[in-house]
Amino acid sequence: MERVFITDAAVVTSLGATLSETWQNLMAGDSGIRKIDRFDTRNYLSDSAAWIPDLVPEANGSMLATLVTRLVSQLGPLDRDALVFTATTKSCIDLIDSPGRGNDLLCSSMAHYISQRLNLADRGINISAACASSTIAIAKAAQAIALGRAQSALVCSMDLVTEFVFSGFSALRAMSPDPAKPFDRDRRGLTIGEGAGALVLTGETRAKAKGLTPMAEISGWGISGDASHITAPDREGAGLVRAVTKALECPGNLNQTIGAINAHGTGTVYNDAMELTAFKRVFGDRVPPVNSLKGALGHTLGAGGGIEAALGIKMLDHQVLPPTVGLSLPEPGAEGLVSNQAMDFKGDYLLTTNSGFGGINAALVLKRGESIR
Amino acid sequence: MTHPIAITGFGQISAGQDPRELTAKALFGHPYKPFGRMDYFSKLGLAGIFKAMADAGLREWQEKRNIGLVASTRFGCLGTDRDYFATVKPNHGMAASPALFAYTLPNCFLGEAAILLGLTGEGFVISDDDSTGMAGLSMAMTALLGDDSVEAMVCGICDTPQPGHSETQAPPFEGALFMVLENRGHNSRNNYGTLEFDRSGAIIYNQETVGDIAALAANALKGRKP
Repeated sequence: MERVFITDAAVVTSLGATLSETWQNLMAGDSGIRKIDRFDTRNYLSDSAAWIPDLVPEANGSMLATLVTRLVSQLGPLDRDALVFTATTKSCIDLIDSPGRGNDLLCSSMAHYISQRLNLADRGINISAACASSTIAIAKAAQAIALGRAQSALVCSMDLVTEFVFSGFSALRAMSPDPAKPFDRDRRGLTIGEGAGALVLTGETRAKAKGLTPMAEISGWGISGDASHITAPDREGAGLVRAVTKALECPGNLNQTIGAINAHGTGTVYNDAMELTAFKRVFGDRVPPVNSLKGALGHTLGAGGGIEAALGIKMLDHQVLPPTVGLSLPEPGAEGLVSNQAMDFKGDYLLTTNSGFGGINAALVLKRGESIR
Repeated sequence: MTHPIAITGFGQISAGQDPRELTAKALFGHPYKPFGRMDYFSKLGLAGIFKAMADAGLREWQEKRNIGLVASTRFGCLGTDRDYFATVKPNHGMAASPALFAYTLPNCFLGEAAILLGLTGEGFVISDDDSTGMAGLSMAMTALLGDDSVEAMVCGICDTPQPGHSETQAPPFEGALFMVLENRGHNSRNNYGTLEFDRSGAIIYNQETVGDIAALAANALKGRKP
């Protein structure tokens, strides 16, 4: 199996236009959640989201094209033979009322946009698996490289704050009236967010040949379904346990210790409880420190896993988990595991997880970057 | 890593069928309450998967199974998106339908199939405007080859007609078409032939390179009724 390295990364979030800026603001305990003036929120459970105020439509008329342009313009030159994977739940859904823009509503539209913009040979595909979309896209890209089917892949994840999505989570009563409080005993739901993340994955052979220094390694992945409910997680976390176990059993992770967990941590009652249950089932009484970025960045839906994996590189580099913003009193069982302060950890391996509608769960293990020359 | 994979089931349902005929009783032989609340895209996809699993002899189950689902689509649930947003626009979202919103994610029918059939393997939808379903087929085969614990993979295509969507050509297949893939020896009820990767990564069926799933199904089903 070929080792798979992350050799470039970028994000655009409500907390920053770059990976470094977002990281600095996360570590400062800031939040990107603010009052929305993009659409009328009077009939919804909340009036706030983690959105990017200066995100105006360009190119195809969608704000998503602007977001993606900002994202990929941060990347260095790519190999023309790179596979292209995108992960979005709703693509350019801000155009749903715009006549003649049907093609942009297709989930594959941004893959083609990125491919053309970067002059890549592969037209690309989009992976849809609700809020686990980008974690699965990263896993599939990594798998293609590990099996020798490719030496390079670009994975871009992206989603917008739109009335379409906002109204839906409000109607489902999954949205918190206040900013989300992941893993808090008084949490009341999620806060929608928008953003984008990009990872460039490179096989060891090419990375060595090009003299690249890996930012991190993708050393494991796992995907599993709950088969129990469409919009609620399995209470015992059975699917997440299987996904995490699979990721930990990948060859590069055997006998290694996970230093920290970047959890999905949406702030909904059932998700956060399910995750804690699953982590305890996997790690017993040795659950490593856990955090969630969604109190600061909002729930960026299909983009979440990609953004979190990019920020995971920083977590490993600095050996610290950013504060879980919004948390004040950890829920029973989470005491000592989560904190609204940054938490130092020791270890070369970070577990990052996401779960989504349809009962799907996905996990990645990231290994701290090291010289491979 | 490249041993042949058996095709053991096919399930096909045309989107041309009157949606009112698409009932749980007609499909499953018994009422299934959740089916009534699903959108048309999900009903089609679930029906295709169910038929494929039944054809492969995998319909009945006691314990959940490590069987995965990969669906390819061009339009996904675009029709459902429009239906949902029609409930949002009047009165500034006051009447937004939570039931419809749940189906504005194209992977939700995979979750429905997982619940109905007890499937805990990986599940995701590939959006690809070439509509051949080949990327999904390749990923399903790879999942089966790379992990001995995977009992089977179900993969295929699902698309509904999009009236008024004139910007792109219609997909070559409108409806749901799914197949069950198993490592040889798992299930011998049906054998529609085998698939394997060649050295270049192309997929080979009966010594011929496969170009799209619909053509593969037509070839495999010659003279048979799935």
